Amino acid sequence: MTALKETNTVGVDQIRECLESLGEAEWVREMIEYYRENGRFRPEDVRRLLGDPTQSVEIGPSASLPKFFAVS
Amino acid sequence: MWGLGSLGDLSYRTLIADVADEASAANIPNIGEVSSLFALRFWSQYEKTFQAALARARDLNSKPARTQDETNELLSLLQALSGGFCIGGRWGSSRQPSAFEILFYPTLTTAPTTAALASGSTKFWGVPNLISRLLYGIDEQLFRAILASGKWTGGHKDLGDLVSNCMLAQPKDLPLREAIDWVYASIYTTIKGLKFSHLAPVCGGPIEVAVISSDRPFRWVRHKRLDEAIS
Repeated sequence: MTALKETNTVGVDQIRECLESLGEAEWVREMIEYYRENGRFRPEDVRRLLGDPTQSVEIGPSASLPKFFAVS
Repeated sequence: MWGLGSLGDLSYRTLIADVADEASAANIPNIGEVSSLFALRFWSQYEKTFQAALARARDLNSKPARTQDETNELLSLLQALSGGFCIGGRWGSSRQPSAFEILFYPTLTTAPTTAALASGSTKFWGVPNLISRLLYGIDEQLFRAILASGKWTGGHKDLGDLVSNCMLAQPKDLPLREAIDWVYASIYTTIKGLKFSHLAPVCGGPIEVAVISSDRPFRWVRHKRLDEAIS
């Protein structure tokens, strides 16, 4: 219950302010800079941006969220 | 299909037509066996076309320790030479629709197997991150980052439960025209999400949609005209 009380003390305005203050991540700036200079993305950026091409997102009765986000 | 864009001199169009001809001639009874035949024919061409790159990927993957350059090279090969197919519909006189998933990647050493999709489920492939963020509110990268942050005291199943409570529920058993709208909207969302963000614009162009219903043959809902490039 303590955790719940602590969560409830954070107001909507505070959450909104926190989200609105989020800046562009450092790796995104580096990625854009690299793309401008080289005309392509670094391999690690492509993976990070697009995800694993052998993975899928499943929705429906047989879908398993823990399986989709399985931690190996 | 998603991922790998071509098979050297053999186009996907030709490969699909060849497999359809072979399946018809052999009187293959159902879409599952058509999918298996397609997987075999695809794999044969894939191994032949990318022989050197596949050998390199397997070699890098088997190394117990890799340099950063080698890791980047392996990532590039995995990203460039992976992908898959979803073969669905019905075949021959059967009115029972079904769909099968075929996944391939360079470190696979035998022809890919086919996996039947559950009826009523929907799968999104190709750029899973964007649709994952939209529907689940999170993608695999962020999920792992939270677990690795040291600030999350639960396990991955606890986090999965939290995400489940906030995900966008999707419609079930939609009427045909609504289902078409839903498929179109999902693809359109992915395209525009990539276009208007820092993400690489790897999806685009006219969205083509077809439908195979139990009572009617293949029908295009939207398809670009053959003179599209001229105008």
